[in-house]
Amino acid sequence: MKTIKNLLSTAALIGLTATAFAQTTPKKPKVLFIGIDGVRSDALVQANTPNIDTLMAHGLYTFDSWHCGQTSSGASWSTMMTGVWEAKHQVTNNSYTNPNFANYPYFPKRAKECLPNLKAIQIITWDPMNDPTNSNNAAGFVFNSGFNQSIDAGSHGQGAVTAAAKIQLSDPNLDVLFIHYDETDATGHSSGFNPNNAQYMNAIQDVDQQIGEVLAKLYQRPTYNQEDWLIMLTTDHGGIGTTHGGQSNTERHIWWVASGPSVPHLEITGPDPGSYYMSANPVDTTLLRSTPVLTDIAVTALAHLLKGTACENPQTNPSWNLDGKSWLLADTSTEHPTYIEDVNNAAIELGIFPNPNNGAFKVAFKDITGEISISIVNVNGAVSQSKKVKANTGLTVVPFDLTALPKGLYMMQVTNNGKQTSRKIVLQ
Amino acid sequence: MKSIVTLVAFSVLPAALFAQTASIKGIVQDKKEALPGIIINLVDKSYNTVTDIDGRFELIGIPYGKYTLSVSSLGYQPYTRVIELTGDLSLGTIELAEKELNEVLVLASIKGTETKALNMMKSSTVFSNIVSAEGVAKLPDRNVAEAVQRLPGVVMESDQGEGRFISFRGTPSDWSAALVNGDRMPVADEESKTRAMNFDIFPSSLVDYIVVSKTLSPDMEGDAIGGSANFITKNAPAKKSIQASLGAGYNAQADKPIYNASLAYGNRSKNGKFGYFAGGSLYNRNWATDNYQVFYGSNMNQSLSRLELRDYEGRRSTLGFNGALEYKFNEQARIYAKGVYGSMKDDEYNRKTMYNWSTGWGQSIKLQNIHNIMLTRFWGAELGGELKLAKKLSASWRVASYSNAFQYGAVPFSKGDARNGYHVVEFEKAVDFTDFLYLDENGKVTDERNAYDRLKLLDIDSPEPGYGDNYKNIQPTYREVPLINPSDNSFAFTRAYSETNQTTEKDPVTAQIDMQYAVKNNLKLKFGGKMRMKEGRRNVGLELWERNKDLSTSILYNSFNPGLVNERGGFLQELGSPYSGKMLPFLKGDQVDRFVSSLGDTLRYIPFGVKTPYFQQMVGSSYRYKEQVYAGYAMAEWSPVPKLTILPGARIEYTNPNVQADSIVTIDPALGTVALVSVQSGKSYLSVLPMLNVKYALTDKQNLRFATTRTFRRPNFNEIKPGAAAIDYSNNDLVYGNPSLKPTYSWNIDLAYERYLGATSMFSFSSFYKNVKDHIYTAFESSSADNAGVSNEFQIPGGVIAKKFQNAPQSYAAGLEASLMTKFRFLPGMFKNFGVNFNYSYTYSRMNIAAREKPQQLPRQSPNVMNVALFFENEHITTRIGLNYRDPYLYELNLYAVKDPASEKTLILHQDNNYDVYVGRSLTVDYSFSYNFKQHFSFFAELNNLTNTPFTMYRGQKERPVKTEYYSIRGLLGLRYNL
Repeated sequence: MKTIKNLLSTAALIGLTATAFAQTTPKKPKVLFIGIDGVRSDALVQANTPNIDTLMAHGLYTFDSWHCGQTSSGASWSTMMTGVWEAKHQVTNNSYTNPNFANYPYFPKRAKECLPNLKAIQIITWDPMNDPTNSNNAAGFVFNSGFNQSIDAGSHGQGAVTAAAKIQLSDPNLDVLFIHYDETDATGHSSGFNPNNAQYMNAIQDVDQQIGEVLAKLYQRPTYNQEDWLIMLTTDHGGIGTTHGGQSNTERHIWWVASGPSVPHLEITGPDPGSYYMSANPVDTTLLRSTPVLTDIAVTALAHLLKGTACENPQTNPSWNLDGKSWLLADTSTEHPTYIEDVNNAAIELGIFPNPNNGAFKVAFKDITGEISISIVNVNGAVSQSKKVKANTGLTVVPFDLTALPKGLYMMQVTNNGKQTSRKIVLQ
Repeated sequence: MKSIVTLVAFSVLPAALFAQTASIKGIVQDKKEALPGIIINLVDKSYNTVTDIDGRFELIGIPYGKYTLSVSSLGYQPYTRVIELTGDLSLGTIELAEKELNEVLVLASIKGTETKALNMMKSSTVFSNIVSAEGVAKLPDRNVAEAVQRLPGVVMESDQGEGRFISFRGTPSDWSAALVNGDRMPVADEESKTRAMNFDIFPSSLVDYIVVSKTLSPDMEGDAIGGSANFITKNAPAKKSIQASLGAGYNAQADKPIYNASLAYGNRSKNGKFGYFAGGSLYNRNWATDNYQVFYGSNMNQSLSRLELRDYEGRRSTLGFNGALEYKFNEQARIYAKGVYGSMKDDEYNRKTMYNWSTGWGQSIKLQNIHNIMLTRFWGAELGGELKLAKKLSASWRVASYSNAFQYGAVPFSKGDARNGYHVVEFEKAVDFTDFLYLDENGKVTDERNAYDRLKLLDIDSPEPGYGDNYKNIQPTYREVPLINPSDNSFAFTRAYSETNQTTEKDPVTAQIDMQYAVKNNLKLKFGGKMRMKEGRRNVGLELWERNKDLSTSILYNSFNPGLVNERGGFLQELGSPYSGKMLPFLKGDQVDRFVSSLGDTLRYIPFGVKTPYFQQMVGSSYRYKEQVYAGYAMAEWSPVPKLTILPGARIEYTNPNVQADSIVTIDPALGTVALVSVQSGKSYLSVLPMLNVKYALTDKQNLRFATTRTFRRPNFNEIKPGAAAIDYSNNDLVYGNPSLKPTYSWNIDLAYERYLGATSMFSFSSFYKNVKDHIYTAFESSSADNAGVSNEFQIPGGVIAKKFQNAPQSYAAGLEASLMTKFRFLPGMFKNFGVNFNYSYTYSRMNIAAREKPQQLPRQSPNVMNVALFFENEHITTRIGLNYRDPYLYELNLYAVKDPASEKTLILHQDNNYDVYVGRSLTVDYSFSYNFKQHFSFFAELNNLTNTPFTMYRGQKERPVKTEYYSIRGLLGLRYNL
């Protein structure tokens, strides 16, 4: 994360090139899903991870993904792969006892209902997720996964995962690739999930290099320009002490990244929607609709894969009954926007108009009280403009003119009544 | 070798030609048997010698003339005889009369008396302690390690309350050699990869006497830095002998019986030429252990990750046979054969309740139902002879073959199934622990939700007053997780596995020849050679069964109706049964055995192979090896004046090891498939070991000894193996072998004073210093390269630390020893029959290693070791109470290191000893009693571990326990018959 500030400006340009060569024929949607086990948010922020930072700069990311279930691997990955919470898939620990994958399958299985020829592969290092009967089993009975193949990189180290991923990425027919790195979690268990633990930080930095290799291979695909890749990168839970599985914020308050031309480029934030395991902090279903959470992974992936098909919207398909939501842009065929609104953000509700604009715009707030403080900050952290206004009853509108500022990336930081929200603004 | 013989012969010829000389020979014995170690000399002349193991002596090169021959010994009446030498003289048998008739009669009813041992010790040219068969029999010990630990400076490491390894003078156990009849034994142990003999397979009844040599002479195996223990197996007796014993007892921890039986018979033909001996022993004992173990989550802080409550129940059966044949052609030639067999079967159930404050599952309780049968078989066969080639030249030779093998017995499948092993059936359930200390980013106490760190701490490590468990009562408190899946409150099957292990080591051929050329009576030259072929292998694997998720959605513990364990009076009742109700129900023994087969297709079998989790770990721990050793030595035994004996000499050992192991190579990156490639390495080395032993007899009963010797330690095979690293997942480290490792050498200086007081009394005081170079330990590797240079695409994963065996710079050990054996003869009446055996040793050692700034104590070295035994002996009763004390000692250094992100350097985390593992103080008391009646019978009773001393290990200090294990008292009553 250290390098994120430097990367953000160039990242926006890479994002542009992806769309500059827009084809007349629609690009084929594909998903690369990278899971890194047990990476705590504050550790990721502090670690030197240029590849992950680049991904974040390319897209949508959050450090406000709240875990509402058991922060164990079996439960968490099942939630991410199915797009539903534990009450539906029934995996609450690593024993996978009496799972309900029959009714809530992995997302590739759902995607195949619409796209039967989809080719999906997973590469796994964590044994419980790799039942070999899953391999070459189109039925994917065990996890009802829909993976065409499950490659066991077993105990052969993360280098084997990377090597296997690179080979798979040279297959032009590949549509979905899920790869899993476990060493970060193993290191946390042996030496402590803690940003002060150099060993844990080394493990995070090591996996970042692996991710860099995989992404390089992805970008080298000869067909890359005819494809629309959604890259999702997540962890399953944080950690505390030498474990996880509990309900502390360091275990629950995690992060994920969705990168690629189909997703907005911004950081999304959100308050804690609660947990199914905390009697003092029960789940707020309203907040679940706006806060980034683990169930969004599968739904966003499905929304991407099913884009342009006649299939029903995965988020609302009643027979699928998914819990998550998609974070995709409604339409990526238009010009890249100057700025993007965080539609689901609930910390401070605000609107920006007109949209898009040339640097002159207004920020609108509805039904808030007290002082609103807005700062426009450049990549070096210097405040370029700032305004403080008293909120009105009803609508409060704050005008900005940034046309005189140099082109590039800015952050708009909004503070009101102790709440804070950030927006990314790109001046072009 | 031939040329050396000729050379030596020529160089000494002139000396032999001076005058007309002759030899005097004879045999010294008492009423019963031959007496070794007796000093024979010609009064006022510098001709003297010592009787050999058969009581024989020969004085040579004596000018014709008139002399007084004197036989002086401990415990016998002095003997003198005037002789006139006009040619070679054979004195035949000299029978010595016992000094304290009634006492010795009783003692001598067992072969090998303490007096014999003392005489041998006194006349020995090296520093030695000898335990006679009688001494062994007196001790309430069933295996030889336990007998030897009663000598000064000897420390025993035990397993389930029985002696297993010994170490001398505060040196690691594999620095010392365990010899049987002079040969280093092959080693095959389930766990240990060292060259240290696992003594628990070796019943003490096989042994005639034990010689512990703390300094070496060139005719002894040189790889014994700490010293060597030589177990001399029983020989053909001088006349008919029968020994029988039958015993029965009780183990209080197991609440079950113990049996012991032995029978030995030996005889000699009428003409004395042919002798034979055969013996066998059986020792069956039930045992049990109550154990709790504490695991610490990381090397970063002292928080607990797991409490394990372990209940062991087992039955051990040790079987021993030995036989000896001897044929004496004439006075010049003798041939003998010996055979020894020892086996141990340990059928063990182990039930573990594991409270996991932190694991991969999160917070959970895990139950392991474990059953395994460990089989160790050892045999040796030896053929040897002695030949007098010429008047002054004698030779002895021997050829031997040995084998030692470990394997698991028929669990869970029938005999011979390769999937048998340490069999574990495991269930787990998630819970929420409620006994954590939650700290925020500033280390202040907070609630769970806002915690930055979550710790389970002991009181001594708690920053919060009132929080933390006392080390004697570490309690897990937890609640059930909220129910989301109906099976969330049940234990669910996680896996079953068998850890397989076939370990064998054989020395198919060991051959030795020793020559002695007596230049003059006071100058003997000894030279000889030895070769040993060794081959061995360690082959470990993991057979795994998981739930077949296709065919079974759940395997729940309750469906097997597990039952509560018989706690035999209360689990850890020594601590007040703190875990009452915390030992959860377990499967019955046969359920464990049948678990896998009864579930059929419900389980998916994952045979050991590249797909097995922990495959890497097993590959790095499997290897095959061969080693050839060729040794030669030359030494002199020179007495320039009668009181002084000087033994200069040197030994040369050439070692040629070859270790074959596997490297893991990725063959298909697309599928992540890997294959094994065999790699081998071996670096031969020549060890030159000069040695000098000096003995000066201040008086007839006082010796002053000095020695300076160079000895060495061969690297263990796992230390020089090429290929994949051995992986220890629990510590998250990889340990690579290092084929270019150098052997460890030590220069030793020893000084001793001995005072013999009588037939069974002596006092000694000694000191030693060992300067050790290239001690082998594990150091960190910053690179991830495979040491063999063979392609190995296994990258060291992030967070895992790679280590490699390395030679440490200088280290040393220095110490003092005192020993006293005496009877209170100065006391009146029956108190005369009391006596005491006392020995004490203090050792100070320091080792420099690159990782720690300050020099460290050598691991596995105990500073203060003491044995005290008070005994009473009269014509009928022999009874003894013995106390054995050992200081706590450092077991393992915590050299955990982390790569510093800034400097990229691997830095050790702990300079202090707070994270090092120690073995706790030990004080044990044993008692034995025997009553002799009708001349040949004796009734005996033995009680072990009267204080019920636990075996403890701890981290940094005893208030931070790692392992605490209670064995309780065991006892045996029985009847012996000796003829």
